[in-house]
Amino acid sequence: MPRVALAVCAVLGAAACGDDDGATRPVVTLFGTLSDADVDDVDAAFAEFEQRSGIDVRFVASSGFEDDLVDRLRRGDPPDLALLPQPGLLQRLVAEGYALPWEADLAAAATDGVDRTLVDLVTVGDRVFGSWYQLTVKSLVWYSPSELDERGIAVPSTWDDLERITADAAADASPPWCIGIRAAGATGWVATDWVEDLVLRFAGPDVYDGWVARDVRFADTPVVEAIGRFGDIVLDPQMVAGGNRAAVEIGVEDSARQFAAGSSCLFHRQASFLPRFLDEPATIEPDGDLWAFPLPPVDGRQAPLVVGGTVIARFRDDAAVDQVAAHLSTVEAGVARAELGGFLSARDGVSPAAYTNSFDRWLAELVRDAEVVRFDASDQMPPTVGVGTFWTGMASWLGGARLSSVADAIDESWPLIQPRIVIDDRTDTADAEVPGG
Amino acid sequence: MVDAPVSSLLGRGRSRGRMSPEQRAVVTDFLYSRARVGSPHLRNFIVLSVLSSAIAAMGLLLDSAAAVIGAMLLGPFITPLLAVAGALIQGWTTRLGDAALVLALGMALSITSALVTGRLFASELDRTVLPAQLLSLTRPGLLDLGIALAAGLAAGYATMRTEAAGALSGVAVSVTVEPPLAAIGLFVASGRSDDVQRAGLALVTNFGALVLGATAAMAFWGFGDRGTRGPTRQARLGLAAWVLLMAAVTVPLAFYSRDVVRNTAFEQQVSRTVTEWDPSVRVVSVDAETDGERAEVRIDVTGPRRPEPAWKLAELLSSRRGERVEVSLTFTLTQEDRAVSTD
Repeated sequence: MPRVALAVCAVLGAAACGDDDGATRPVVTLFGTLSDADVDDVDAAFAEFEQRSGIDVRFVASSGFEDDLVDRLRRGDPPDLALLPQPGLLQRLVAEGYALPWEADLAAAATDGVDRTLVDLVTVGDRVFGSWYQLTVKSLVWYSPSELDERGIAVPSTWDDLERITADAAADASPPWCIGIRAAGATGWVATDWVEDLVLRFAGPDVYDGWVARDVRFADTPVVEAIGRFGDIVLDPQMVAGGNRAAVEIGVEDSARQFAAGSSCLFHRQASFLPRFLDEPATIEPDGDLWAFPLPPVDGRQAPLVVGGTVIARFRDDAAVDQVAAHLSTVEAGVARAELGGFLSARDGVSPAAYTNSFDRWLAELVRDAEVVRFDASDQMPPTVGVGTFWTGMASWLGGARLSSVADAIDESWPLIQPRIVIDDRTDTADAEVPGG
Repeated sequence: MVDAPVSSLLGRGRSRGRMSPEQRAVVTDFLYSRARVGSPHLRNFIVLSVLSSAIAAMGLLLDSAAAVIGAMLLGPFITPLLAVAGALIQGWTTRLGDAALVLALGMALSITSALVTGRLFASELDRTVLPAQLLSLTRPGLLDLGIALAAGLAAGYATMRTEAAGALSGVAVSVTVEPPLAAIGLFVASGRSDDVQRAGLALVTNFGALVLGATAAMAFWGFGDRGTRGPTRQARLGLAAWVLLMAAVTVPLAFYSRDVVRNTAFEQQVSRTVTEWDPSVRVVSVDAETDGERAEVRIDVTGPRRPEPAWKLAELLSSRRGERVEVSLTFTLTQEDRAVSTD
């Protein structure tokens, strides 16, 4: 069976490793996940910094990022910096002694103007191990404004409204949802995003937090009910374009394109990065090709938000690396990146006015004004669960496995012994120790 | 080739100099009795257009040089092509129109035949990396123009000179015509619009150069005749238009040639870098393109174990070239499983 891997390496500046006069310029590698547009935008946002600092920043992006990063670290070939999409992965890398702490000025740069909850997610003991680079809003339902207008449908503001609209559409033999969960090496993440949103809405933030902390289990009623609610949608052949098998058969990006192509469905629940999945650029405006609303709340209050994000982690103690890390943590870097679009800074200092397109500005205001914001649960869970059994469990369940068995299996996979982190203050390194082997 | 042995009708032993009126009449009769709609020979032309293109299309899909050569042997385009050349020399507008119509008919039938073949074997076109012969048709360059020009000269020369084998010059013509025709049909069948344009450019180039070469050869070796020539102005206009067309085609071809040279060098660099990246793999195919700022590499490798990660190859290439490099790597595991059982 052939395997396919994608990788992009981008180098800015006239020379990769040397100046015209022959002097060696420091090169700092930044390792991240693959998205063509991101590669270009990250590159572009570095242009001014590279010119000013004389540092060449090499951005290397891989479709198998998580596996490749762990492989690199274990082989003693760490990147200088990495953009981690899951704080749970950062916690693991800290525990295993790979990620370096952000000390003194660097720690201040990492935490300045960032929400305390987010800082806590990258803090181990009293040390900060990461700096938030960007946020994504997960709890979005995308729609075509003209399609809703034509059908005389108002954007739903409550869960009941949403249920009524989707039930009416299904009754008219017009499936309301486009859903696809298949993704090379990551099948299931779309389903876990749905479940997280439903746990937060129907069980509330306290249960959500307890679930992340494993005080609430997957087999407990609130989580089972949330998965069941998702099942009421995704397993109903009238509710999903393509029928009840479509979700497991259609790819994540294909379902986004299916939705954007129009006429297949009314809604598509996907994070703020949906435009990255589309072949053809779409106008993202309230009266454009596509727009979004927050997945509605159940209690008539403001919609709670699930957000995801990318954390910068350090793997090499070096002045040039620290300079790049500090730069990425500045408001100026956030503003420079925001101007290119498709980016939401985690820093308060980047005001909504800094965003050049209306969608990014709307997202910034949405996050700023939200009463309840929670970070993606699966990204906080231990990677064995968060990017492992939770993903595969949801895929198995949608494929026909019993929900109770799946929930039990996920609970059983949760690592019972967490690595204990021992910080050696003299050497500034972190070692992992697993009590009891 | 059924239309090729024109020269055999001319008798042997002609040395340098102009053709005799009798010989010119034989050639003229041969070409223009065939290169017109309504000719009794048209059925052969149609059948061979369809079959040669189908064989060429299947040969391209299989990357089989033998099958493509077979299609070239059957290719029937030399007669209408020489008829166009002769009509341009003599300013025979009606005959030029007739011959051009037959050429257009043959091209349409060939493309349709390849299109049907492509539809029948569509899965062969789903692959990311095209067979090498098919891929080369999406990268026409000045060398292709040179080959077509030489083939046209050879065809014209062979028609005028009995010493040259006419059948072989027909194959030379087919070399430059059959593959792009078949490729266009295949690319249309698979919806590869960019590749259709490139193969179309290859076809226009080749036809244009063939006619130009044949026209030059036929004029040089004495096909021109004041006694039977049409209005001189028309003849000159026709030739001038053709030369202008060729000049216009040369511009994009020069760019393509530059790209081909650059991409070929890049592919060689990729192949060398792969052995450093992971010596355990064998390269099945490489398709590498660069515009000097961004490079894309599609590489298909096989090996006994999972290869080094793609990012490492991308980083190696990027650091050497100083440009953005995107690598799409397809890996197939080579696994040998042997067993013996004795009683």
